[in-house]
Amino acid sequence: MIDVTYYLLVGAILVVLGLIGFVTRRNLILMFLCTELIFQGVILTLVGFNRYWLIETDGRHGLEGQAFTVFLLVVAAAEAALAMALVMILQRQKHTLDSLAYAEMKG
Amino acid sequence: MDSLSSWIWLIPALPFLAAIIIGIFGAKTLKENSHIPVIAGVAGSAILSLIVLFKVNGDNSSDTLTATIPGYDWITVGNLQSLISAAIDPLSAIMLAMVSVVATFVVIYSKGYMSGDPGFFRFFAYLGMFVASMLMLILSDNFLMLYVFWEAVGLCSYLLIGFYYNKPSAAAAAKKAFVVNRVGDFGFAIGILLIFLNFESINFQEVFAMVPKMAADDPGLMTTIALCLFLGAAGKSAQLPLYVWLPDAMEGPSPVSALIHAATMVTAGVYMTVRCGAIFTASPTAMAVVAVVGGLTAFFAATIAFAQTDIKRILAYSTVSQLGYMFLAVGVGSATAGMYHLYTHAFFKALLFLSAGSVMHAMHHHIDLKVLGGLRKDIPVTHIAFLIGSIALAGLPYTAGFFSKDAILLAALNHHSLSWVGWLAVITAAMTAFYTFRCYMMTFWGPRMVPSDAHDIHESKWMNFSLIFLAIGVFTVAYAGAGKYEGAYGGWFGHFLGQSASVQQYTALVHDDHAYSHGQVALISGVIAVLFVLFAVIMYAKGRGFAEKFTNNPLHTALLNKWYVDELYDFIIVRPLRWSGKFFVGSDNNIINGVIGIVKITPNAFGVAFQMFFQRGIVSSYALSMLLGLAIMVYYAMKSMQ
Amino acid sequence: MESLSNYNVYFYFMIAAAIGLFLMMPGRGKGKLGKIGALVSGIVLVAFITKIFKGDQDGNTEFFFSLFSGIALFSAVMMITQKKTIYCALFFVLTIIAVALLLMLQSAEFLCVALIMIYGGAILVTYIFALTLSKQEKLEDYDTKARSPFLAIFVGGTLMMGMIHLLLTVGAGTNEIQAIPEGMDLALFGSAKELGRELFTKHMLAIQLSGVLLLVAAVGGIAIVKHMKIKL
Repeated sequence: MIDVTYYLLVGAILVVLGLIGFVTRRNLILMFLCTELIFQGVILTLVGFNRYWLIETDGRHGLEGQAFTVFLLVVAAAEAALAMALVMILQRQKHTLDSLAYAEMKG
Repeated sequence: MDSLSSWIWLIPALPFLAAIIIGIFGAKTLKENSHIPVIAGVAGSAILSLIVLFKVNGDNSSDTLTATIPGYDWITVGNLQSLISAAIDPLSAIMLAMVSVVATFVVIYSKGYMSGDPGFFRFFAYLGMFVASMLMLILSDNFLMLYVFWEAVGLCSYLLIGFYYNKPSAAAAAKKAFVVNRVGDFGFAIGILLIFLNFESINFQEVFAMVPKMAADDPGLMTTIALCLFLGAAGKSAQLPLYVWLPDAMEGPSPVSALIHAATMVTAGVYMTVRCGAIFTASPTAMAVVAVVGGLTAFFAATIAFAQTDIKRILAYSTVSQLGYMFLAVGVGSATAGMYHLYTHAFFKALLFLSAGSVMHAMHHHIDLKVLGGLRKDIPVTHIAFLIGSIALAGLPYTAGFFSKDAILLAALNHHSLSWVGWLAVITAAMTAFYTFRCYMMTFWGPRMVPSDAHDIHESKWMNFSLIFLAIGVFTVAYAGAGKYEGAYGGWFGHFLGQSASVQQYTALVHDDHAYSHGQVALISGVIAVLFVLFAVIMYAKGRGFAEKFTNNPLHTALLNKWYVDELYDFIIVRPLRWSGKFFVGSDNNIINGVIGIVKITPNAFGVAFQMFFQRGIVSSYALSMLLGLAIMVYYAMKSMQ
Repeated sequence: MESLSNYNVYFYFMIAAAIGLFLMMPGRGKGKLGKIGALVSGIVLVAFITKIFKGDQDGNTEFFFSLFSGIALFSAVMMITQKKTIYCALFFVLTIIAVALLLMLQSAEFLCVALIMIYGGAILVTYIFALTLSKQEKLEDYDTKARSPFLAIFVGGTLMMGMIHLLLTVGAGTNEIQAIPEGMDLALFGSAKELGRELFTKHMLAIQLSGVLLLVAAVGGIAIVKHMKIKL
């Protein structure tokens, strides 16, 4: 069987890749997409932990990790919807999706 | 003496209460009736003071009639113990009586003088405060209490001089009085501090008891303390070089001039000098300084009075001159003579000022002799009062001024080393006689001249009442000190006062070597007075034409301009102070602000630098910084798990 | 598995992968270099996977695991390095599918399907919608040029190395999978029934709250764009 370490490893690499993408890309929508990538990594980690450790006393396997994942999906969906709405509005104002155009908090 | 303790505090409390009542109710309720509480309060104090006087006089049980009536324990810190307690001895009893009686008459006079003035109630409130402070000053038992009430009378004097606060000259005069007094008070404070440092007490009794021993150890210290205290007295009592405020203080109403600047406040300096007799007599140098300063002031002020044309100014310089006489007396050792002159001077100078006020009231507030004259038929009561006062001031034989001035001259001329000051005083007496009667003749004789806007010339009955009673008082006090002279301390007055411990310090000093006998001095002073009075009368009898011939020379101009002393002070003191003030403001604005500006710029520079690198407003770079932080934390965790 | 404490190899792998990733980042005229970079990171990826799983006996799970994780990593890398945004979105869909299959390997079958449906079916569709509505006729500057890639990869690489080091040194060898308890049907684990029981008994409040959250998000989304005039 696969050690949980490898799942965690893959999850960690996905997270870091998502972070690098978020920092590197300039398109607003792509930046949000990379945060979703981070979520993927997190999901892997959660479910990995869930599979390998949660044995409860009455013979059942605990499923908190998967429950957490469900809520994560909910939040990600809500966040994606609102984020897209906001990006749409921003684009109408400045006619560009460049994140460097929104440097109004300079200083 | 114990029976006094219950009501001795009423003496200052009554005028104080009256002042508070007027302060609260005067503006709206009392208005033109504001004089009633104050007259009641001051008259009550006067009656109580007279009772005290009789009690002290009648109590011959001990040699030193001194009682200390404890009041309120104000400050007790380590060695500094200041109780508000009253010292009752013949000296303070006499002063209490004099102050309260003169104040009563002045307050009654003020009703007539100030009626119709919009600040009526304010005047009476201030007067009540002043009388209360002066009485407390006299009753003081220790230096700190004395200083506090010293300042309080200075404050009331400021308020009253600047009573007509809309007049710029009055406001400036009030400021000048306060500031010059401050210079004197500075010396006074230094003196008190020195006393506290060396004697470790500020109570009169304790300090005076320790003086002989301290004087033996360190005579220089005694001289220093005495000179510092004298600086305070010189400020308050208008001696050289701090007399410049008193002539300007005539901007205040005439009752103020009469009460404060003739009879009571300015005599506080003399009172303090006599009270601290132990300290002064322990230092012959200080005594000599006091006498010389007094004599010179007397002479100097008399010269200025020759050429003035404002009646109140003449009287002001005359006050300075007479105060000089008092200090001269104390300086040569005859405190009794000094106090006696103080006593008589209070009455006749108050009389003169109130008469001048009456003239002002009749002449619609004009007081310059250039615009008025020959008024003897218009204001008869004032005329007689002024005449009586002038006779007393000039020292014509057998008047009050004669006896007191005579005593001073006797003591001065008989002094072993300072008799030249005594001759100076004789010359001054001659001048006094002359300028006093010059003023009298110019005001009441000669061709009649009234200012154009003076209509309805009349005298107020309240004012007349006071004038008459004060005139009677002048004669009464004359004979208090008369009688058989033994040395200069004869009569009831001298005998009574001689029982005070403070005065005894002085009497112990004087030796009875009479270079000039009593009769000789009396003859000299009497003849001089009569001679110069006649001289003045003859010169001005027919009008001023004859005297005008003497006015076109530089000496007259110098005298008219008060020897340019004010201009001198302005040049030496006021201008450098203003210049240094401007200098400090400039340096503060430019130099110090410049240095602070450098300090201010540095964080700004840092901030701008930081801003350019880290705060561009780009979200990605913020995320990068977070990532960097995360990496550092992971690295750190890695290291700690090795 | 062979011992994993010899992580120096992974260190070199990471360096190579970082270089390859850098070369693949769009912008600054790296056309040909990009292809070389792609090649390099591809090789590294394969080597990485085979290195881990060299010489093991129990083949099935490992094979699928390596396959799915390889696809996930590959598509993640492609996603963050593409110039055209649509391609990024599509690669992301691939990533989601790979991750879902990985979940399936861990007996979380409901989550696998849910992930594909919700993420791939709903969220990604929203993103693609937004991308299409933003009307990019040509390749914009902000898509073709990466922003400070060197710094980002340096920091990210450091982070990754740290995490890998932690995972492989600290966690190695201690995480034996726990035995399935007696009498438990593995097929039920992770099923909808079990997950449902878990959610609705132990996390009732959270379910309600997430319902409210979704409602709020829907209302909020409409409120945000209410006044916007859509020019199509």
